[in-house]
Parts: sequence; structure tokens; C-alpha cells
Amino acid sequence: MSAITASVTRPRHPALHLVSDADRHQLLLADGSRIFEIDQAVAEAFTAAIEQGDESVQALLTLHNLDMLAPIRDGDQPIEPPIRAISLAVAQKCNLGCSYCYAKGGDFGGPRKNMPLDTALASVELLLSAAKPGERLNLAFLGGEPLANRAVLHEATRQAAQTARERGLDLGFSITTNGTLVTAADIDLFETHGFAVTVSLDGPRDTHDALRPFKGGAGSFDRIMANITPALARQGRMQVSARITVTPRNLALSATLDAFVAAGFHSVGFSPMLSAPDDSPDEMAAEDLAILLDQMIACGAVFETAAAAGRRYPFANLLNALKEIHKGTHRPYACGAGAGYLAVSADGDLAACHRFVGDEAGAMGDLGGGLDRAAQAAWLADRHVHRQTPCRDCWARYLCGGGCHHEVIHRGRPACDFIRGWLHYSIAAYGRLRLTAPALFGSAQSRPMSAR
Amino acid sequence: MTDMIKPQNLAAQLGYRGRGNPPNSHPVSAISNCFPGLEFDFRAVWRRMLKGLVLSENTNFVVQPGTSSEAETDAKVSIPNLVAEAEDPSLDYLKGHRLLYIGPPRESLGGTEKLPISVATSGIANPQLGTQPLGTLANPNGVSFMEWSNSFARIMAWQGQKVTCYFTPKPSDTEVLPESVAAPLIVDIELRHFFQQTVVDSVTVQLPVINIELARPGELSQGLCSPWQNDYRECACYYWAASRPDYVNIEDTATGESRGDNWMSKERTGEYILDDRADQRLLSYDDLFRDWEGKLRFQIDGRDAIGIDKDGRGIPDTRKL
Repeated sequence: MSAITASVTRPRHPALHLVSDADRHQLLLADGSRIFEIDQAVAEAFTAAIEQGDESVQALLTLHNLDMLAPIRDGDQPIEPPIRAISLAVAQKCNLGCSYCYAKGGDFGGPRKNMPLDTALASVELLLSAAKPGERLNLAFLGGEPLANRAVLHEATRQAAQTARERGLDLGFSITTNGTLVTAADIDLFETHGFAVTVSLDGPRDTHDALRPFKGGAGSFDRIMANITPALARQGRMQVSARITVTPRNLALSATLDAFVAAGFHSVGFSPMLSAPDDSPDEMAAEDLAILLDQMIACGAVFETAAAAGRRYPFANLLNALKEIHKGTHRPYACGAGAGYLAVSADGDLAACHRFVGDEAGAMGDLGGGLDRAAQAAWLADRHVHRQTPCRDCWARYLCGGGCHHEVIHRGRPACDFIRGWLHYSIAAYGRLRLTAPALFGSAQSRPMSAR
Repeated sequence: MTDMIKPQNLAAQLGYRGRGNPPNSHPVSAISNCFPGLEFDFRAVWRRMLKGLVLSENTNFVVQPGTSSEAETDAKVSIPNLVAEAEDPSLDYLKGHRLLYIGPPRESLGGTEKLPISVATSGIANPQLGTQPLGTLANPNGVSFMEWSNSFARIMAWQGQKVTCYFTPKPSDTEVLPESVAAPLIVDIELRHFFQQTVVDSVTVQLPVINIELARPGELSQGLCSPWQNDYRECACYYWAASRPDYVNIEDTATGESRGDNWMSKERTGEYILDDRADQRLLSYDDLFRDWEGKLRFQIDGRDAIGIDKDGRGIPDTRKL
């Protein structure tokens, strides 16, 4: 077991958190996500002050000139934020039968359907119409399995790219696919338009096939790898990444990560299954999340060794965490869902994100009547991390943002210890890597940590 | 050993101010130059804005009317356009007067639209006395001049036209408030264009350069505090180089007083030398122009660094005080 346990990472004071390893102590100030290296004496003083109470902590912050840092003013919800990204549930159907799927087998619990082209194009117009030249936008294809509606996906992409070009907009494309239907023509499209392609894979063959079988029960791994191997070899403008949904049945992360890195994926990321529909056995329980944290930290150790030797090891979770920690990301929401990001269902209904397609909890109007600004305002007011009861006293609140809205609304917050543990490890790794692999943090402008 | 607090990530580096650093050591609270690189100061064009007059660049004082001798000088250095621009000797009588107001061209003069060039200065000189006019021996009427760039913005619309200028009736050695002059001298004078005009296909167009008639070579930069090394000694107005150490190597003494050095002193004696540019014990302007990076020393925890390491960082003096 790793030394990073829940008792080490539990919230002790809402303003700060201490991260210590054998060689150094770091102080995270929650507001503004500012990180300082401190010496043993200062670390001990803060530890004692936390025990003594808020007054002692404030006095210590004043003593060290840490109370003069400008506070981040994030208390207000954004007013009518501009739309920066839209995802299309271009096919609400799927040929796989994964037990844990939030889309319940791809159809979100309703009839199987494809999005008509005019709905896709109206969605594209919603995204592009309000943007100003030079702005960065993203159009994502999700499902179900989006390639089950190939013709609309291809045509919508071509027309969106053309319109964006004419209007001087910087439009990026992405797709999350199960990989079973990918053809040479799809790979051409992805490469031409610089897609960020995410392939859902849950581990080596046997593990994957147990979790992500075809609806008839046959394994899908070999088909997927046969389909996407040409794409892995062709990554020029496009990037092909692997995403592993972690359940109690595929907790051996290191082997999976190594296998997919060796296969040539641009990056490999893990995401725990926290909210499966009905009584799926694949939801992660507290003890599973503890194992996951240990596994993630083990993967992180391999990353640290590789980075120190100047080798690329695209462990997406740690790359992303380091990027956010280095910048000092301060987020009052977990993600842009319901703000700058919206999902469109096959029928043209708008939702806070792809997981809320067909779900009243995240309904946001429809293409015909437009974005429901009142629903959006209520969502943003309700979802702000300051409104989340266990979050307001947690040191990790502005790095975490309160957790995935979909998981929180449907299951609560079972993974706080895991999230804090991972952030605690990542901050410690940041302190080490600043010395052993400074090239990772080259400059604020360049993007040295992008995986290529 | 002092406690160590070292900002690590970008957010911390941007926001943190080390103990002892003044507020102006921070980009967000520094008072910085609005002209990056201090290339020039366009406000200097006020000197020659009114065709035929030369004003002192920072007051309303008429230094001289343009004369033919000035045109001759221009001819010798062959400045195109300027040679042809003979100033107006008929305005000779205004020398030594002070400009009080500028009004719109006479035909559109509505009587009250004239804009004062200066205002009264008032403020608190003594907490007991409240607000009162602030005069000095040199400026007994307490006259302050408008920010020239703002004043210019107010009359931009009248470029190229004859504006109505109000002067003191007599030459005046002291500055006077516009409203204190009962019967000003009123003269119509052309307001030059700010940008250079040229004619293309018989259409007058504006070029994106300052009108060559408004400034002679050197005038746009002569009011600047360059070379920049000057700022180590000058610039009390918190320009960046004035955010400098002053009293360094400070030690407490048995009497409760402290001893230390002026950062600019050539020898470290522990005796603070009051700043005086003529004092040979302090670095001179010339020393700073020639070798500021060699003469000035890094300060670490208020003490001179004892050297520079291979990475160019100062080596702290860790000897016990």
C-alpha cells in the first residue's frame, strides 16, 4: 500500500494542504491553487497551527506574506457563457453490450436512433454562429457508437470544417468510439480534420472482452485493434488515445498502460466507473478505489522514472494533473458541462453534457427553441462548488471542482478520498519532477506536456 | 536561517511577493511606463501645435514666435518640408505671453466653449487648514497644467483650422490662472494637423506618422529620462529601476540604532551616505552608464551577495551577523 492514505489527505483546513515526501515539503493554498516549497520548520509550524485552529493558521499566513495574495473572485456563476464545445449523440445505439454503460447499451434507455443530418448541421450552426473569428471551438461525436451513423458524421464534419474556415474560426474535432466500426475512410476523415480520437479499451484482450463484449457476447478486442492499428500508424494531424474505464474487474493498471503505450497510443488514461446504471456489479466501491489509487501511483512512479530519463511515457492522468498543477488551475466547476459545453441528442434536445442525453436532470432546451437560459442559470447556480456541502471545506475543491456532475447527481461523492489521494500524489510528483524533469515545465506559452 | 517559502507553480510565482519587497515589485501593482521602451513622448508636439508659435513644452509660456532665422537653420540641415514652413514673424509680439485658453474657430465660437489650458492647484498642505490653493515661490498662483495628451484630445476636431487663442495681455514671468485675466489678448492661429498629410491623386490623405512640422529631430525624445541607467539614480516616481534597494547590509548596534550601507556606495563602510550625485563616495551617473552590471550588487536577504555562481545567481552571504 502507498503511504498516501485517506488519513494523510483528509481535509484539515479549507485554506491549505501540506504535501510532504522524504525530500521536500509543499504547501498548497486552495484559493488560486498556489503551490510553495517550504522547509521543515515552516511545515511543522503549519501542522501545529492547523491543530490550534483558524486564528493560528491566519497568523502564520500573515507572517509568511501569504495573506496578501489576491483572492480569486469566483463566487458568482457565469452569466450566459458562450458555447465553446458541442457534442452530438449522432447515434443513440451501439453494437457493444458493456454492463456499466451510462447510455444503457447505447440507446440511453429509449428506442435506438440516428441523428438526422439537418439536426447535426443545426447543432453545428448553434456552435459556430455566436463565435468570433479566431476563437477555438470543439465539435465532438459521441453516442452510443457514433460510427453507427457514419454518413451524417462524415458530412457534418466536412460542412462544419468548411463553414469554420469561411468564418475564420479555429474548430477542432473529437470522437469517442468503441473502435469496432472504424474503416479506412474514417481514418482518412480523422487525419484530414485533425481529430482527437479516443478509443474505449478496458485492458488486454481477456479483460477487455469480459467488460466490453459485442451484444451477442463475443469479444471485441481483436476487431478493435485490427481496425485502429492503421490509425495508430498514421497519427499526423490526428491523435489516437486509449481510455480505460476502471471497474473492480480490471484494476491491473500498469500492465494495461504499458501495453497500450507500446501499441502506439498518443496517450492512455484511466477513469473509474463511479455511477453505473441500475445494479451493475461494475461500480467501484471504496476498497476498489483504494486499490485504484495505489495502481495509479505505481503508474506515476514509472512516469517519473521515464521523465527523469527524458523518455516519453504518455500516462494521460498524470500529464493532465501536472499541467493543471503547474498552471495553478482554479476551477469552481468540475468541467464546462452546461456552461461552455452542451450535448445534443439525436432528436435535437440540448443537455448539459453527453451523459445527460435523455436525462431531465441536465435538460437545457432544444435546437428549435434554443438554449434554455433559465435552466442553464439554475444549473450553474446549483452546480457551483461553493454550493456543494462536503466540498466547501475541502482543500482540493478548486482542483477538483466538485466532481463529475453526472456521477454526483446519480450516486453522490464516493470517490473523494481517491481524488484527494491522486491530487496529493500529483503535487508531490510535481515537486520532484520540477527538479528531475524540468523540461516538462518549459514555459507557460509552449505546451511541453502535450504528449507529442 | 530564515524560513523558506518558495513559490513553485505559475500561479504562486505570479501572485507571491517575498517578505520585504514593496508593492511596486509586482507587475499588477507597479506603476510602469505607458510607453514601452520609452521610444518617444508624443506630448512634446505641444510646443509647435500652434502654427507660428513655440511654447515651452510643459507650460503655456510663449518661448518665441517662429522667425525666419529658424527657417534658415532648418535649411542648413536640409529637412524637407520644414524648410518651406516659414513661421509667422507677425506673431513676434506674443513672446513672453502666456496662453490661457483655446477656443473653437471664430465662426463657430459660441462664447463659452473655450477650454482652459491650466487649472488651480489645491490640496491639503497642513491637516489643520483643510483644502487651500497650493502655491510655491516659483508658482505663487498655484497653476497646474493639463495633461497635454488630454488637452490635445479636446481640440483634435479643429485640426487644420484657425482656432481662437487667448493670451495674457502682457508678458508674464509667473504662471497665471486663466480666469484671473479680465481682458485677454485674442488671436486666431492655425492648429496644425497631428498626423502628416499628403496629397494622392489630388485627394488629401493622412499618413500614420506624426506631422513633421510638429517636432524637430530629437524633440520627441528629449524629455525622456534616457539613457535608462539614469533611473538607478533618478526617477523617484517609482519607475521600475527606482524599485531598488537603498539601505543594505543592515546590522543592529548595542545602542538600538542600526548601521548599514547605501546600495550605491563604492565602499562598504557600514556608514550610510546620504544620496548626493556629487559625492565621490557614491556611484556616479557615468559609473552606471559604463558598468552598472559590474558595480551594482545583488541583494539577498538584505545583504550584498558575495559573488555570482555559474548559473548567474547571486551567492548569499551566510556569515553570522
